[in-house]
Amino acid sequence: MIEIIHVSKKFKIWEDRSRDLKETTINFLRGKKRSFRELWALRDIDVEIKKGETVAFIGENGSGKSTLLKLLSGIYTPDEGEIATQGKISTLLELGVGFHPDLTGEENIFLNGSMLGFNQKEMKKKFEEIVNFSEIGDFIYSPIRTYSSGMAMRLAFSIAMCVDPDILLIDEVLAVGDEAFQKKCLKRLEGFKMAKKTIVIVSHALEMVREFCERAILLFEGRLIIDGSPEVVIDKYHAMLSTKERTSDLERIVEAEKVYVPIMNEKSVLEEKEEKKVEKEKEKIEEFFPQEPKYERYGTFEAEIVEVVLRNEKEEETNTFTSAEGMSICLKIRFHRDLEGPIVGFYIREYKGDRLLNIYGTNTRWKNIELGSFERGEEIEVKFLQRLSLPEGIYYTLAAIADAEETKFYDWQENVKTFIVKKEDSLWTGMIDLNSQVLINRCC
Amino acid sequence: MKFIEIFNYGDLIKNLVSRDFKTRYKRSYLGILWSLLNPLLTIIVYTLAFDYILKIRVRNFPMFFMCAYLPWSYLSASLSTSLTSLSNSGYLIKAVYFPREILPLSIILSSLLHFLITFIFAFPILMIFGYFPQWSVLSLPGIILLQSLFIFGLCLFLSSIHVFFRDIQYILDVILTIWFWLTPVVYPISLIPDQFLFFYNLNPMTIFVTAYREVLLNGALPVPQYWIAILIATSASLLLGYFPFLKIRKRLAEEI
Repeated sequence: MIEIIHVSKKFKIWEDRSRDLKETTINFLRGKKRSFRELWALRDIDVEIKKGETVAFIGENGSGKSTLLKLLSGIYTPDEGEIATQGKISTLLELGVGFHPDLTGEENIFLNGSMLGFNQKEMKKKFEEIVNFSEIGDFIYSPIRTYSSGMAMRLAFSIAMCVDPDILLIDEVLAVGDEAFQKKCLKRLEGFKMAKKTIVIVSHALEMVREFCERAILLFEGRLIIDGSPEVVIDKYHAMLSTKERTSDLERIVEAEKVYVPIMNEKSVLEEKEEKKVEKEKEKIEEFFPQEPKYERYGTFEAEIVEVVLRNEKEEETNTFTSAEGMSICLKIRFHRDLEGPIVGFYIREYKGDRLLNIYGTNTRWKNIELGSFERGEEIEVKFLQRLSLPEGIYYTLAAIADAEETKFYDWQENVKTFIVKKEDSLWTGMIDLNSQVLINRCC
Repeated sequence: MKFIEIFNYGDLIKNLVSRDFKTRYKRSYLGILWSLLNPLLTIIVYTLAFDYILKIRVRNFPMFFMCAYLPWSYLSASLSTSLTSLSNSGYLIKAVYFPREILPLSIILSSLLHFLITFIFAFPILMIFGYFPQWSVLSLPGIILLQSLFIFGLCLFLSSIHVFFRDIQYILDVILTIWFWLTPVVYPISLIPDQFLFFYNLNPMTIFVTAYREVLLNGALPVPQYWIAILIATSASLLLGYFPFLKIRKRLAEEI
């Protein structure tokens, strides 16, 4: 079990790195202290990992995930908070730590093992297993300097894989080695998982995280963003990356199209700010409505959803509908670049428990509608018409525009519109109107 | 609690010492023989210089010199090799946790091993020159243990300081030279004028070296005052070493 209790960690970044006696003395005599900045690598992380869980920390470089792993292993000490662990910890931050080229593979196994915290007796038991796993054979009795780099890597891996800790901390090390060997290691890790060992990994390999881990935790700039099932957390991570891409993309666009776009940017950023302000005020008012979802927006902004309008059958703009009524969702889109074949779509969502569930969604591609190509500056309206076969409730709309391959979102707006459905007829009950036909046949 | 932790890492210490021991002379033709040849050649050179040329008035100079030079070189070798033990092990300190004092400790233990090997060869040479071991030899393990602790304290101090002040490396060379000549290794204490004798005896190495000579050459036990002085020096050195070490230990992985 691992308990991370409100842990923060800061680093000192020295402004001048010089460490010779002369300067130190001069500075000391002048009463000048070496200047440094403080950088909080982790801020108030509070996580409990139970025995037997497989947890992945994900996030960009510099998000603090490796620092966290080093705190768990005891290499770093937290500045605030506390870390409590139960059981033997084995850390695989780097492979082949302390390998000495002049020592034989055998000697290095024992040295490396003892560094990982295993005693001679345990290592003797594991020795044969390690040698077999590494597929190094008789080379094990030759100095490591005679090994190929692949062999040394395999040996390092094998030690890491064959030792038997209660808690295994792994930092990205699985990304190396050839594919067959990698598979072997993954299989081994599955074995660890089956044996109810606690595994904490730090990885960029999201596919592996999705497949292997039961739980993922996203860090951003030292803070915990979301902790949950890998699917949910990875989606959130993608969303964050996309936002970041948008920022850098905007910079690029600004660079390339200095005349038009900057004005647009300012405007849209302003608009966004305005919207956020409104949203914040709304939040204040609706404190009693804790489930009110936040308006969120990200994308590359090469095309922009300027407006989303909900209309009833009479073409009146409204946010209150009766079920069985027809409703149109109109997305007004402006293009900031020449684009080809974008996909426009929407979702209708509703709270179920504490989760926002997609009730219904569709897009132009699923509906087999080819949007064609657009020029910069062009504006279009995409209108979706449907009948609201929904029960009474509050619903949220998500509108999005993506590129033809759906590899990136130009604009993605969550909870852009809220609407209420009232059920005035009593023709049906439940979650959805299946529009049943009733047939009666008299038999006999 | 942290001090006891080190005992859980006995195997790591053993492996590090054996790594250091095995790799020190690896790929050299004479290997471990250098541990013997080196002091032997030094003894010959100093004998030529001080006994034959400078004609220092000491009975049996080679043995007189050897009994002090071996413990001295144990100290100087430990200090100069363990100085970088923390700062050069950044890759280890950043990648895996273990009590950090193991790094200087394992280097000292490896030096101790070399010291003991040469020391064993010193006995037959002493006997050739007519010095036979007396009962007092049994106190040697005690002296060696205390000297090792004394050295460990200094090494902790120096290696901790070295993380922040790389200059200490160059200062150490000078200090070791001065220290060597302030210690009665090549000359007897009797040459020191009486008025300086008090300050001269404040040098812990003077005490250690004299203790070794008492045991090996005179077959006598060092007087109780010497033992007290040795104990004080050792505890002072450990305090001196642990003070900066404990200060930097927590941030070691970040600072290296």
